[in-house]
Amino acid sequence: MRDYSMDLAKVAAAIVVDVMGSDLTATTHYSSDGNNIIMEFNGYPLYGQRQKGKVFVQFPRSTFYVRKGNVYFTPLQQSQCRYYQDQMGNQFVHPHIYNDGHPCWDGSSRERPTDFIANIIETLSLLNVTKDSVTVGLCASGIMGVKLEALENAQRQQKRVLESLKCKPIIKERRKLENYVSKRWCNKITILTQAA
Amino acid sequence: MREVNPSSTMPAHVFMDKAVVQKINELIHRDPYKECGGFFIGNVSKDEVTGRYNVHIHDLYHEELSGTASSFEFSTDYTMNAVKYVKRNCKGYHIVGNIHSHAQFQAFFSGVDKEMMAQSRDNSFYMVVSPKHGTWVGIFKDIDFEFHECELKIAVKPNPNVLFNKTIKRVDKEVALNGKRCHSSSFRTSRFYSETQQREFDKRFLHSITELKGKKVLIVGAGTIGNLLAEYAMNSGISDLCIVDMDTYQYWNLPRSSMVGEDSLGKPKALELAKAVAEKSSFSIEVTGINADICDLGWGFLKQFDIVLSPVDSAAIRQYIDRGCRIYHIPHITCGTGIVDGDFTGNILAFPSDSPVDLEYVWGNGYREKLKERRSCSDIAEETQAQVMGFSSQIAGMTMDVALKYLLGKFKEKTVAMKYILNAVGNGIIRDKAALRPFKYGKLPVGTKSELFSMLDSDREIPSVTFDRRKPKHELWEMLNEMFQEQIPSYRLNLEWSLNIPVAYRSIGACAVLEVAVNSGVDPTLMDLPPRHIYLVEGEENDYLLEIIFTEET
Repeated sequence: MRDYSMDLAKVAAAIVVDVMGSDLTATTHYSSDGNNIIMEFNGYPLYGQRQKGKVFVQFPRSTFYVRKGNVYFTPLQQSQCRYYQDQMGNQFVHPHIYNDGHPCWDGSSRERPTDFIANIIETLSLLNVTKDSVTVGLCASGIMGVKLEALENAQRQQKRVLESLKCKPIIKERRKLENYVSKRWCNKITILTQAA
Repeated sequence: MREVNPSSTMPAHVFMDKAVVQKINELIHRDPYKECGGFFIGNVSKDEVTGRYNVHIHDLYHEELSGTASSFEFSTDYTMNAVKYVKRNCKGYHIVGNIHSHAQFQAFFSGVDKEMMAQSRDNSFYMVVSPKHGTWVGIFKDIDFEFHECELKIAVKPNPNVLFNKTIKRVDKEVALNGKRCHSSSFRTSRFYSETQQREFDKRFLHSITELKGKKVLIVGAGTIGNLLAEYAMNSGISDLCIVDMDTYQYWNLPRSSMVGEDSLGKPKALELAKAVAEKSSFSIEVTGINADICDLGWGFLKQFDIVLSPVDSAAIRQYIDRGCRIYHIPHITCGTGIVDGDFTGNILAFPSDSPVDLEYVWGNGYREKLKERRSCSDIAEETQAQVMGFSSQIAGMTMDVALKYLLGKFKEKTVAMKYILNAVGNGIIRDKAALRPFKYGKLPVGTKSELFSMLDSDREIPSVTFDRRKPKHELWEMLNEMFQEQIPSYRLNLEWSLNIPVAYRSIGACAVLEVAVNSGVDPTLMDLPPRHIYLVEGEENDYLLEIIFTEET
């Protein structure tokens, strides 16, 4: 009775750690009702705090699954996804994350597993906070301030995250990041399915 | 002077004849911009045991007199004329108070009113009405200048010949349905006729009543067509009717709701329509109104009915009902009206119990985008509103015609679904060469892939499990694993296939799939699902249809 959903979530979490730097550690588990998977990243430099702490990414269990030998990915909606920090229920500090933890996604694509993983990386590293995203769309939850204030605070936090975790430089360019993630995902999936 | 504030805890009962209400309206709306007044004529009595005052208002005396915009004076002449009127026309009655209007303000007792009340030592009922705001206040003053609140009741003169020939037994229930409170009212009307009357009745109606006995009919939607269908069902001799609607009657619904009256304003549609049917039916009938969203009741609720009629404003709900009916093999007729090219068109889609096609197929693909739209008779444009009732009654009449044919087994082609499109008669001939166009659906074309029929297997009955949703979800997984033997960590309940997306979206936050996993605990989202429903269960190898009955939470 192999649990492919969890295996695939672990693969995704491992790729996030690989890109973000090995100072970050990841564990994955199910929510108590079994409907969601929670990725728990430890060692993240939390905003406004000197020490490092935990960040949680929660998404539906059915995001990854295997049917009749094929791996399936279900693109998720923003209301199905949650980002928390410190403890479950605590909003992750990011201009695009609202107080119930759900992200307000930008125009980036979400169709492939690669997009899903790249979006987690960009959110944790705050690289998806841009001048446009905080002004044009007013896509700022207010937790880091609004408009340009949010951008300034986010950039400061972004610098701290990149430096303290020693993230891979490809993180800064979405196209390179996607290529890297895609290759890693395909390799690991092949290994996983061959092992099955 | 004493205050007008009620000082007695015992409110007075005021019984006003309905004719007096009409006279009050004549009086205050004659010139609503000026105050006016009239005298109440009736009797006052006091129950010596309880101390309660009873006021019966039998008539109103008023003349075509108007005051100013903010005052009205009951002159001596006016009072004397009222006395003469009582003496001549109302033997045994007296002047028991007065009424005046407030042209500009809400209804209340002003300083002048209080002074007027203090001038006479008698039992009197005083009333102020505001035609502008539609509000009123009334107070009773006894001979000791004690003021009593009033409970006003309107008395309607009955026809004694029909007073003692029926009983209506009403049972109200409030049940918890998926975490919400749901009200239902059941009425059992029994009609009694003398032997001679019964013989006359039997000559005309015995056949339909006998043939329809025991047939249960569900109407989902108590709007314009819902009212008409309920009326036609009641007068056709259907003896067991259920009406489901989640809304209340608003004042803009009332002109198009033929069965219910003004008393239904602001009250749940389903309960009010059920009550109206019970009161108006000439036959014995059992009618139940349920004030709930049909999606909360689940497909299992439909199982008990012999036919389901869905004159409902939402396309998604029609689709939901249709799929439930197809699975349980229940005839389903859905109907509605709309505007095309500035004039009325309507359709009736009739699916027999073993229909070879479903509503999704008849509507065509790519329709899902429009499913969430609600199309109601109240949305029809102003210039065509006048036709709503006339046209809706044609649609309702045809719907009931087909429904009765299904119920009486008279529909000749038993496995053919029908679509009737009816255009407003005047334009139909010019535009389409025919006002009525029927379409037949005998079978699903070869190669057409249907989400529903690819899963339905007529040889296999859909299995059923019963689960207490307060318990951890892994217990449900154990049941499913025993049933389907796939040995996988999670089976998935596909809410989207089950078309209870409205329920899922409202409560779960866009969660269209529920996991039933080996390691899962109590899942509160199960509480939002219907008590009895059929789900598509996705395993790793196969998909299965499964009926899940959630036991009632206490």
